[in-house]
Amino acid sequence: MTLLNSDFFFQGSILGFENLDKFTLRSISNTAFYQLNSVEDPNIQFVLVHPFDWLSNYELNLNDNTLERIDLSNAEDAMVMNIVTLKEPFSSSTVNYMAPLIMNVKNGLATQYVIQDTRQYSSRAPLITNDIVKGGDAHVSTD
Amino acid sequence: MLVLTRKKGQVIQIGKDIEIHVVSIEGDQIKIGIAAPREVVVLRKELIEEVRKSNQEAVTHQINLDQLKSVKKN
Repeated sequence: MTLLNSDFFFQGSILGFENLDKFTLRSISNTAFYQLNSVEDPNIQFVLVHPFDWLSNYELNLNDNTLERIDLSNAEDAMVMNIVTLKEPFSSSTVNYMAPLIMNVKNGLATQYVIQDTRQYSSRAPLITNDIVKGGDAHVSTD
Repeated sequence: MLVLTRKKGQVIQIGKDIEIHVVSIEGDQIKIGIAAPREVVVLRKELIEEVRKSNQEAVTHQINLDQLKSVKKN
């Protein structure tokens, strides 16, 4: 699976950016981060992370609508990433675990999926938790 | 906005293929069942607003590579 310069078609599913479809995903070298750039609007760029790098127990159940929207039949074809909000100071940056981006690496179709159970994951969870600093298991507080 | 009065168990049909079922009513809470085609996204409005706001705040103009390099994943 190549991550460098992969194009994905979000079909207007990134909330707030319903007019945008095509994005390019690149890994940011020597970091655990990725960048997602709109092809149609060069001003729109997101920083992403793989949730499993930060929350080993992150899980989500996609509904049939979502699977159909990106024509996903094989779980191995799905790549899940979450949008990071970079903040100053950097240590206060957050991750949106509530609304992951689901990308089908086979066909390039992608969608933002909103986890309906708000008790499960926050849209503004700290990127860096004390547990990571201490080297323990990561967890997210739900608010 | 069209306002309709419905009782428990009654249904509102929107267009050809969307049905809103009033499943139960308890105090100020109403349980609603929605039957809609797969391509119709059904979400609580406040969730959509929360995610939209979070997405808009997340748009990044400059990436500070040194900061990103300083973070090790778990």
